[in-house]
Amino acid sequence: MLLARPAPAGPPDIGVVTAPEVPAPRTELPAPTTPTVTPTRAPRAVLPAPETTAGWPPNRLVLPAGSAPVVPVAVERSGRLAVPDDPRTVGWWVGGAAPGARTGTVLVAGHVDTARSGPGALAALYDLAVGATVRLRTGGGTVAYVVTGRRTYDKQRLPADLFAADGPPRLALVTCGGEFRDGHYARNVVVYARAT
Amino acid sequence: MKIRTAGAVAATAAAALLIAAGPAHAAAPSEQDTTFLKAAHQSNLAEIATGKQAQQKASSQQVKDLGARFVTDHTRLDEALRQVATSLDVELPNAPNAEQRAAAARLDAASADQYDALWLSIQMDQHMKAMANGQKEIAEGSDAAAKKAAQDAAPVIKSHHDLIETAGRDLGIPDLVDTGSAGLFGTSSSRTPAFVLLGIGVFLFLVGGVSVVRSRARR
Repeated sequence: MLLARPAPAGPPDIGVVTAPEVPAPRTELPAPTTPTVTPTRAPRAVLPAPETTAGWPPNRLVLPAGSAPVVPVAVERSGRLAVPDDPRTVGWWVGGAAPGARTGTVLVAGHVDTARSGPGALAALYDLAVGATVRLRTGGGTVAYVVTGRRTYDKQRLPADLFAADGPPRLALVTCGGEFRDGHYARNVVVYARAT
Repeated sequence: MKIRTAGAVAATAAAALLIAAGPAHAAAPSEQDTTFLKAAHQSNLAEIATGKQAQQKASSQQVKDLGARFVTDHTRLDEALRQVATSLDVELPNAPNAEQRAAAARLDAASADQYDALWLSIQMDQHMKAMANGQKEIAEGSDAAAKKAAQDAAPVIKSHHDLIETAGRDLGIPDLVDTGSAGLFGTSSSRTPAFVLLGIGVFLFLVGGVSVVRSRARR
């Protein structure tokens, strides 16, 4: 048993993802007739209903195993997402969709572990089952999602649709896994959840 | 005498202007009107202050530009609002509320790496609150001028919210999500080749085998 155990590449893939994994044609330039200022989202009513939960940034992620504070994050100069240093805090990418939005992926990322602090909040992604409920709390209310699947990708080959502004409304929780070398993991573990 | 008459005419005209600025049927504002005016003013104060700070502290041009625009727009909205408050005799607070001050303190403490994302997120949150405040006044307010101020501000605040969402994307799309540095959940490094693991396994097997043989020999 010690001898022949194959190295797993992270937690096993489960369920289905809520958007096609075919990468969006990111390299294609928009057609010249497309004005660049036109938002890709569906047009919304000028005035949202006062009780709407859409359009608020998330402030807390609630998983079956526990919850974690959410802080907004953007991209560093290097192109890396500026994930919070503390693994008990997760980062919401400000370039993605906001919880409750009609289209697009809400992207939340967190360290699976750090050398300084040990396991992180998103280590729970390894045990998250299809059908589990995940919630994002915002200033305007709570938005619930149901886990549909988990996939592991080579870090350099994350699907482009994770970062696309269009597509079905969903939540993607991103952490790391796979081979660990020189202080970094080789792969990303992504849990997909659809808006309820 | 003529001078006095002219003065009286001017005073009458000024009074007429003041009345025209206020509601035609000047009644006491409702509690909702007062709440709206105070909250909208505090929201303007917060937007103006954080907008000014963004122009100094933001890294990206998008956020700096958005800060400048918020200062201009919220200054204009607040001028209209203060006129309504004056005409209704509503005394406005002179500082943002506790929550807005806490958000400002977070922005003060933010590092350069965190600032732009935090600023956009706080603006998104505060514009949603401002929208809700205005919607409530439009639905439940009594005074026509106060309701009109809410109606006039609504599309401006909505456009800001849209600009905030766009700016978040303009800050860049990540090409790497690096989320771990301890290796607690990793598989072994490829620098520990298979033959080393094999060697360890063979060693343990032999040690185990020897101890089994010895314990049998003792019986």
